[in-house]
This record gives sequence, structure tokens and C-alpha cells, in this order.
Amino acid sequence: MRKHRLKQMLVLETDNAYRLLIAPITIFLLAVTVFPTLFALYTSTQHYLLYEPYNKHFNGLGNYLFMLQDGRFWGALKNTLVFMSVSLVGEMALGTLLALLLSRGSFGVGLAKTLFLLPTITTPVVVGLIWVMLYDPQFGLINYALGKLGLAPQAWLASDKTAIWAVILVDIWEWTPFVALVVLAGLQSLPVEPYEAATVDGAGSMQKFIHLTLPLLTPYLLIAFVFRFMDLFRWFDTIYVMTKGGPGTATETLNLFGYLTGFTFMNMGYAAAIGITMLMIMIFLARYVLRLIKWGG
Amino acid sequence: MIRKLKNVSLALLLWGMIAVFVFPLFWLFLTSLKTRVDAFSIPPKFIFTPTLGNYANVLADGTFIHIYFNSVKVALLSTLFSLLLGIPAAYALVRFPMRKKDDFAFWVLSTRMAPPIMVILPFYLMFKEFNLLDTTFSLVVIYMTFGLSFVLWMMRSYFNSIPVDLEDSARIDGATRLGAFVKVTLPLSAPGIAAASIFTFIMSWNEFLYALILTGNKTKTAPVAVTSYITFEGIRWGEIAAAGTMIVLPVLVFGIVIQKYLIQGMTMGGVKS
Repeated sequence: MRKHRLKQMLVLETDNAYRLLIAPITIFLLAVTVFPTLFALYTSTQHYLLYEPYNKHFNGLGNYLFMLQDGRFWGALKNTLVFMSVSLVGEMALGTLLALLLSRGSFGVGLAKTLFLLPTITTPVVVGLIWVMLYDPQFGLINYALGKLGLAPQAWLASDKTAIWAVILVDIWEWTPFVALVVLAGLQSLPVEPYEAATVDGAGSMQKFIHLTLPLLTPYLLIAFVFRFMDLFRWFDTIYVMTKGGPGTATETLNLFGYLTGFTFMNMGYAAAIGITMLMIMIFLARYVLRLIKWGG
Repeated sequence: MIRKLKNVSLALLLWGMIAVFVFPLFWLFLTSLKTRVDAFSIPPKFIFTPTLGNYANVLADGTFIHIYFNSVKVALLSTLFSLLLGIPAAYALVRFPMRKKDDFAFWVLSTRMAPPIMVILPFYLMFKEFNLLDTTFSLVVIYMTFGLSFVLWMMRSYFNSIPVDLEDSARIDGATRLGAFVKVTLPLSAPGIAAASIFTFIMSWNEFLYALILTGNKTKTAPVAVTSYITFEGIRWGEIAAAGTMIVLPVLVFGIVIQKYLIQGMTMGGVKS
């Protein structure tokens, strides 16, 4: 009887057979999420420099206390917030505008949609390299074009005044099309009836946009927002290629700061503390983010 | 008349913006075909005699080809194992009476929110301890952490679109549920599986941070290798552009092939287009 039940489970005939199906992914993900979190938590309480492993010892909250007094940490936190807010606002606004243009269904929209995909799937490291080329103070196309307009050339990535904006511009270039395509999917799924009713009631196109389109689009705007939000927090590749956080620490994000601390300065304990802090920030924010997804989707 | 003028100007605005978004990629390709002199000429040249010299240089000593195929191997293996673990779980979420389905799916998704530096640090220390740095294995394990969430979410929404009746009728004909899943649902899901595979492949192919930390000379991936062209003997734009073009090309081709599913994949099935 028992053997029969087991056999039934193996061919998925019993209701609890789902356990067999979700066991591998569950075990794998537990191993690769819970373990590193605990290990990082432990490492963050250690004084642990990779080049003097014999001197590894318990340090309590030392790394965290050091972090709170470390100007570089606060600078990186500030940069992360500036990066995230400016890129998000820029990408959402521009992306929505583009989606509205695309949804008018003018000439060649299919081709336009395909072309828009390209920046978002291009390997980020290559995106960084392309823009290093374009921003090049001597040979770059951007300074050349500005020169034609009679403007002075700039060392875009090398000056701490312009670097942060130059890097943000690249992220906006890379990800605005993503927002545009998500919002466009929303625009194309809008129901027709409310618009007909509104026209009958004599609503103008601006009124229709504010009272109908925007509310109906909210779930899509939220999805675009949430995914950009999550990825901006982890943003690394393009900044690393373009500036490595420089000049000085002008474009150093938390992620980059953690990377340099761990793998350039070899300070594992401190890097772990930075990682754990980022995790706590994310958990705090994720509650709201998940609520947004559930609300929108 | 005014309406027509408005339409034309809006179309012009749209295509102007598209040009801005596509131009940098076009410029990369153009630079890859330039001689050293053309690449550094002022004013920048749009018309010149194209040469494949940069590609020849990049491919000459065989290192880049080795690295390129290593990238293919890592991306293929991560995709394969993500499918093997992700598809059954997605099927379970759709067809079985299971409590807290959504919580499970969101738990899998939450792995995407973990700060990379916190994920990679313990793995780096552990792989170092067990001499697993610079191995394909270590990279594949890490890439599966995000590959799995894509496969699970994309396949969940795909299985949802396949009527359960088809499986039921196969079972009435004597197939077990496993048989019905393998013989009926899986073949019908082929387009979804293809899209999820290509998507996971692209994500692994493009990944940089983990590869930078975990790989060395043996298993370096293409994105890590291409950054080293900067520090070698000054910046060699022609070679960088040629290598960059070769890295980006398969991604763009694959991306266009699955464009219908791409936004769906990027938003974990949140948007269907």
C-alpha cells in the first residue's frame, strides 16, 4: 500500500506530489540565500583583512560603528540616492512620453519597438565602453558636436562636477526604452468603452489623459518603477567601466564601495558589514515595493 | 492641415528619439571597422574605407575565442540547470493545490533584490577555501540564483495559458499526470521554454560583477575580458569596438528573436505584450 502511494507520488498522481517538484529549487535557493546571509552576518562581526588572515578576530559591532563614522560610506549612500532618484524620474518621464508617441501608431511602430529593445539588452559593460568612447575629451563625438555648436569641450567623466551626470545619462539611455515598452504594453491594453463614454460626455483629450489613461496605466507604471528601482540599487557594471567610482569618489555607489572595500582593499569584515547594511535597507524598502507589486498586478 | 502637420512633427520627434537611442550602438559597429588613424580622426569620420583588421587583431592569438566560448559554456550551463529546476516548480505552482503559492513565487523573486556584494562575499570566501575560484561550476551556481527566478516566473505564466483540459483528456486516455505533463504540456510550452532559455542565456552572458570576482585566467568571460583592453597598451578603440560588437551581436539577434517575450521576461511576467 505504501509502495503504491510512493509510486503514485512519483508519477505526480497525488496532491502532495508538488513537494517533489519544488524540492530541488527550494533546497538550492535556501542554500544560496540563507547560507550567504548568515555567513556575511558572521563575517561582518570579524576584523578580517584578506592579506593578514592570521589576524582574523571577533570585532563585535566594530565594522558597523566604523561605517557610521566613515565619510566615504555616507558619500556612497548619497550618490546612490542621487543616482536612483534622478535616473528613476528621468526614465519614467521620458519612457512614458516615448510610449505615448509610440502608441499613436504612426509609421513603422513595429520597427521602432524592435529598435528600442536594443539598448536594454546590450551587454552593460559594452554600453559603458561605448560611452567612454563618446565622452572622450579629445576624440569623442560629444565634445566634437558641442564644439560645432560653439561650446567648450568638457572632460565629462574625469571632472567631479560632470561625472555623476554623465553616468546618470548613460543609465537613462540604457533603460528609458524598457520603461517605454512596459508603458506601451499598458497603453495597448486599455479598454475602449470608458473613452467612448468620456467622449459622449464631452471630455477633452487632456481630461481623458488625466482621469482615464493615467489611472488605468498605474499598474504598468508601477511595474516599470519597481524593476528599475531594484536594479538601480544594484547598479555596478556601467559605472565600473566608465569611472570605477571616480574621479575621487564622485560616482561611487554603495555597491561599488562594497566591492572596492572587499576586493581592492581586501577588508572582508567591513565589506560584509556594508553588504548587510544594504540588505537591511532593501528589506525595509522591499516591504513597500512588494506591496506596490501586489497592488498593481 | 494642422492635424496632419501635428502628426508629421510627432512622428519626426519619435524617430529623432529612436535615432538617439540607436546611434551609440551604430557608432560602436562603425568604429570596429575603422583603422587606427580613422578611429582617432578629427572630425570623426562617418565615411571611410572599412577594414576587418580590428577583428583579425582580436581573434589573432586565440585568447578571445577561448574566452568567448567559455562565456557560451557558462551561459548554456546556467540556462540548462535553471530550466531543470525551474520548470517543475513552475508546473507545481500552476497545477497543484498548494498553499501560499504567491509567497513562494515572491520568495524566489526576492533573491533578485539581495545586494550582490552580500551574496558574493561569502561565496568568494567559500570557493576560495575549497579551491573553486576560477571554475565554471562556481559561476554557474551563482548565475542560477537569478536564472531560476526568471524561469519560474516566465514558465508559470506560460503554463497558466495552457488549458488544463488537454492534460485531463490525456489522463482519461490512461496517461499518468507525469506522462501528460511530459507528452502534452511540455511540447505545447516549447515557445515559452525557448523564450525563457534565451532570456536566461542573455542575462548570464551579460553578467559582469560576479564574473569579475569569481573568474581568473581559465574561466574569464567575455565582458570581463573586454575591460582589460582598456588597461593594456593605452586604449585601443578599434579592438574594443570589434570585441564589443562580437559580444553584443548574439544578444541583439537573440533579443530580436524573442522580442515578444522580452519585456514579459524582464518584468517577471508582470507585463504581457
